[in-house]
Amino acid sequence: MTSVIRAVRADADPVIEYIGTDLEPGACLPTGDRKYPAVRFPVQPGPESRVHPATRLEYGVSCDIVIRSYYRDFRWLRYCLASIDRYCHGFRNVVVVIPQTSLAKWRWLGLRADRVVCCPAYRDDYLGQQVTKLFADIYSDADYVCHVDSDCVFQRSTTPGDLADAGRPHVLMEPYARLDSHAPWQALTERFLGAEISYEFMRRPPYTYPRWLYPALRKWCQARHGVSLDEYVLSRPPRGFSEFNALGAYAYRHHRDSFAWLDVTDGAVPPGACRVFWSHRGLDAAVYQEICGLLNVADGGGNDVRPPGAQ
Amino acid sequence: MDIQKTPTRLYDTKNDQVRIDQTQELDPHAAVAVMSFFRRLDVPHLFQERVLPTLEAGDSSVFLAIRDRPWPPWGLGGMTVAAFCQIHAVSPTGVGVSPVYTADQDATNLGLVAALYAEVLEELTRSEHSEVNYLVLEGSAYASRVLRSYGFEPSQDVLVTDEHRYVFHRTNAGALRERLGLDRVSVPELLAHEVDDETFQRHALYFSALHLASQPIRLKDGVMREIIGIDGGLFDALLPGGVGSFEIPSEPPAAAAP
Repeated sequence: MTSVIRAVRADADPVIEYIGTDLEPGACLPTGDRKYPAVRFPVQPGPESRVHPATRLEYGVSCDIVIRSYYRDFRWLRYCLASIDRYCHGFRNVVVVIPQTSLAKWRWLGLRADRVVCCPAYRDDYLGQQVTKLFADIYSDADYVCHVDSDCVFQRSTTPGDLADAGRPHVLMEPYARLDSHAPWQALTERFLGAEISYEFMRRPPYTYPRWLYPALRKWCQARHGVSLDEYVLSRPPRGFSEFNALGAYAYRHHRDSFAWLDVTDGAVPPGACRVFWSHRGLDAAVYQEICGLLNVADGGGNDVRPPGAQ
Repeated sequence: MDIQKTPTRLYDTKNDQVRIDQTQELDPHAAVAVMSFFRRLDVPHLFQERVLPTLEAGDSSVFLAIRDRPWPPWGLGGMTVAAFCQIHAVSPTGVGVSPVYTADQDATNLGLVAALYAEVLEELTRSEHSEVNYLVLEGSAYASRVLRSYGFEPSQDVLVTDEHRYVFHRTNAGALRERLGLDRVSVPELLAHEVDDETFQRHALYFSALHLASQPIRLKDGVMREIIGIDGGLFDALLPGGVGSFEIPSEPPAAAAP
């Protein structure tokens, strides 16, 4: 099936910059299955610096919050961004990555972030958004990437330092033996890694990984499966891949000493930085009220998208 | 974050969930979605008799306004087609464009129709197929006059049936896009019905005329339509050499003075 999702033309906006122009030699671009080029453009100048030395993940390194979103989640994204404004400190930039097909709606809604980067559009964006995250080092040049989704709302003060121990990012894990046997991720992660996996690693956002891990995983995939990582992911059936399980399991197996592994069954896990909603459930009045409570405001923190019918 | 975009009006919430896709082939799930769409319209034959053969003949695209199921968005029933439009080449530079079909629950969703059509015209303006064609009943007052008011011009290319003769009406896609104001508004603005009154009225007249003049789309033999679909293979349907041309009124007949 050949298909092209409609998109705003890149050359229609003079501030748009093609993402491939400033990559390091040999950098790998996710191709997706669309023919539109990925582009990068500044929507709003970022703050001079959000980074205070005391809040760094480790001295002298940078950490960006990267959010992969799309048109259907933009109303959630407002609250996510508002919560970052309110609670997050020490992060260098908030980078929002959206498919080019969502660009018109982004502009229409008047959303803003430190940086917005357009990624390819994918026929199956459930897998496509995973590809984007696995190429996070293309969309951000920070030393560490902190992933959250559009339907995550920060609920307490958070710095990069809160997400690591001695410079080693926290990765939460839980034995599969404790989980519902219907959880699909174990078998497909084992198939990807070609090894037995005993832990589930997609436990709670934010997920923070060093930028070197992404190309390492891609190189490993090419060597193991003979195809690029985006090709591998996009060839899976629906729900046939788990990006954070792949990152976590790969890191656990090949770079265990570079991370702080927190088994949620040990009871020593720090409280969650985010309240994680589920965008597919819908944004109703009850959710809106809860978000207002989290943001400690009466109206969504000035990010004034109320649920349909709300007065 | 100072712009309030709260869905409150009719179709706002539905249109907020719409994506527009263009494809030259339908995978099994998309095909089911399109078939279901035409079945709900009570015109299931259109899929097998027109959409599919036209696609398979090549040089054709369908534009779909789609609403995805909240969860899971994949699999049978994962997508619901809200509006449909098909284009196919009828000459080296021209395409035939179908009416914009909408589901009954979106019958007056002008923003959805305009948004889908905007994508069609944008595609045409950046491709070699830059000419929009409709096949209009000769002598038509309604369809022909409305189309002429949007810049269409009747040609010498015709389709002749046992009962009627149809004339190709053509215009440049970019010019039509400008006349409809679709070069000045974005798809999200159209979906939100955020256009000025004049543009809205131009859309209302144009799309209503296309819709009405293409009726009935249900199977009713012998009923005359002012606009019919262009079958594939009607390239340059000029009459054969030596056949005398027929007269095309250069201007719509003037209205009688009161």
